[in-house]
Amino acid sequence: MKDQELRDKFHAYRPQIDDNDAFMDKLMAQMDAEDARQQTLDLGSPVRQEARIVPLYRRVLPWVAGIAAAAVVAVLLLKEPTTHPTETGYESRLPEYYHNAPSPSDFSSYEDVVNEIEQSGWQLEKAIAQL
Amino acid sequence: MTREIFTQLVHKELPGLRRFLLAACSGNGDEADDIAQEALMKAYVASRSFDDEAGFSAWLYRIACNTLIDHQRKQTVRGITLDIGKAHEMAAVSCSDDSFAYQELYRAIDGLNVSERTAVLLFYMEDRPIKEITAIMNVAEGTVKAYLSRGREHLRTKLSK
Repeated sequence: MKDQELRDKFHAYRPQIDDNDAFMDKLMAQMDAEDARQQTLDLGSPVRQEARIVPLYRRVLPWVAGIAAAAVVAVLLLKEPTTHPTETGYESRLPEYYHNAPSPSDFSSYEDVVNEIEQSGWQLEKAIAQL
Repeated sequence: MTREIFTQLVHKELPGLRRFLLAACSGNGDEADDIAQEALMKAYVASRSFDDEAGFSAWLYRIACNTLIDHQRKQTVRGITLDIGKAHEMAAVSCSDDSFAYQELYRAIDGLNVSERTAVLLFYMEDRPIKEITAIMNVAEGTVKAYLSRGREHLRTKLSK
């Protein structure tokens, strides 16, 4: 059997299809449904929102930031204030005497104590006069 | 590609596509139409990013062939065989001699594997050139020629008996 004979045979016995319009109508309905489905997805429907995956770090980030801020505030509030000024350039307004005041072991007699009181009183008087 | 253009092109291709699938399914009209619907919907979804109107026919047949192969594989796995008797329903054949010749032809086609059957039907029934069949089946030209050669030999043997 030659090629052309085979081709003629196929052409002679081609299947007959006559309900293309009905098939096309069915296809158009499916296309409408597909368009509607696609439009719903594009608008961010609940289906789309469920499908959206939020990374773990983005879910945890607000909690971490909140806890860190609370910790900083707590440290600032509860921190004990310093008893001595720490800033540089601070000048004490007390007389020099009070910075080098003697300790009780430095006194050997009653007179030493009296002298010391007199001297400190004089120093204090001088300091008040300067104010 | 817009929906309007897609619809126009499908309208033009539909008779040939359904005829090809009906023959490829040995006259099982329900199966052929299921495959056609599935393939056309796949094509419609993909058409949003497809703009080659000139290559539309080959592209559509390629999707249809892939869908056909998937269906036939599933049937093979499930152990479903094609019903040759349904070939008789494919055309309004008036006399008994014609009816016999018709069934004989499609029984012979059914003896081919799906690749050979696809190549034979596209070449002899749909008059597609070998280059286009190559694009549709996504195989080399030599492979298409081999399918046609084996298919032709098989048909000659079966039809000359």
